[in-house]
Amino acid sequence: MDERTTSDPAIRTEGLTRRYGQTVAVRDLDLSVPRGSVLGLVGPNGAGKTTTIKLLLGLARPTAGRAEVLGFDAITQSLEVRRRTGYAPENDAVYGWMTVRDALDFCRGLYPTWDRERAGRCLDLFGLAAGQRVAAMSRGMRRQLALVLAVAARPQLLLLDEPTEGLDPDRRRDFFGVILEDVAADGSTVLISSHQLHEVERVADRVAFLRAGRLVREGSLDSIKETERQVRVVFQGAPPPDLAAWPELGRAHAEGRTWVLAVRGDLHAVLARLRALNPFALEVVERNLEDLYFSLGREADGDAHPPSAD
Amino acid sequence: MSGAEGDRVSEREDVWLRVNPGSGVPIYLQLVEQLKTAIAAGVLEPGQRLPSVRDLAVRITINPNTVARAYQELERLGLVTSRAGRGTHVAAGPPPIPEAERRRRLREAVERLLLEGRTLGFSDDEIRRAVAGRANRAAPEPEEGG
Repeated sequence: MDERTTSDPAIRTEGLTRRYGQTVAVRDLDLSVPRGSVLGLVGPNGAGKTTTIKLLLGLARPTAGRAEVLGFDAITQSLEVRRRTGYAPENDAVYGWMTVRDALDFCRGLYPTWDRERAGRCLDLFGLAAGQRVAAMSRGMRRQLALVLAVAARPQLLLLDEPTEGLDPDRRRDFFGVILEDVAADGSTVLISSHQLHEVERVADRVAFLRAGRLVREGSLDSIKETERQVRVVFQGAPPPDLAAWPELGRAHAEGRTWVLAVRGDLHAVLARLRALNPFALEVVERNLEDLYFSLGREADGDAHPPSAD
Repeated sequence: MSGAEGDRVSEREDVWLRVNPGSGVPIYLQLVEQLKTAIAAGVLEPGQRLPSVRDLAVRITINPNTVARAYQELERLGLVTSRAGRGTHVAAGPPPIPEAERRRRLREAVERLLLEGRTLGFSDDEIRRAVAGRANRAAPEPEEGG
């Protein structure tokens, strides 16, 4: 059986764990990223985002568990993985002594799939000149060069660690245009670790919330939004005494007279039930990625056993 | 831009498509709602071709899978048809908005109105009178903008 079929997930990890001394950077990570998706990896600093990426590339060895990338084992077949993967690290001072052209030539030799035309197009997009010395470039420009190097190889998988820090909004948009084109045309897979939640919300179709090395929640961003809705309701009198027992509801708490109900089940059923009570006010609260980030974070902090991913 | 009659790719027409990723409403639903409205309002005509998933995704910088999901949802609703290699077209004679959907949208609008009125301290009776007074006007004012 050939493992490397395109129906395989682009990334699959099982119990992936990495300790540094007493610190557990990544803890028992089970992750499956389908091909053709854009996964946003979000979480506070120290949540394990960068370590996860390094484990996927074989740049760090797992303490326990394993990772498979594009059907290849991340440790024993690391070379195969890297040949097919574009990586823009968080910090990149590697090419300090080179010019932009040197860096491109160097990378072209590493990737059989290198696309010169695309490299040139991306350089133009970012306004980078081939003769520029990397050492003399600003941090933002070095970041842009790292992105050009990562996408010019037309990799099957792109791993981007905080890719747009230091980029102005125009360049960010252009850059994501390039990436989304690849996703649509070639079905390539992208993993973006970022604190720019509004950006992740736009380009990612899946999201993984990491906190203290643990995966708190992972899945389709739209599905998570749809299952994490809240209803705010102000009752005319006292709330119904059996509110806590409603099967569609998760956590319920009061903010003054307003009750905030987490809806786990059928939203329309909940609304119909509440309407029958003729409430003073009734409102569905849609939650964006930032809201989810904070509420899932709070849940994870107060709960040793995170809710299972869907 | 080449293409047979009734087979044009809308270049201009998707300019009004706006997604607000931070609103909390899933982006595919935002697209579905806007395209539904555009079809109902005749901005998109029967037989007209929608932009390809790839074009639309890149043009408004959102995930192609999200665009594809919106198109699938529109197809499920019978508002567009999609054939491999030919793209996605607005269905000929789009079905009117189903009764249940019309009622749901009206109910939501009424709820928003009630909430606003009650928050401002009006009684339900006063709100009712305000609605009745407005609805009884001989000539309804045309709606501005969208």
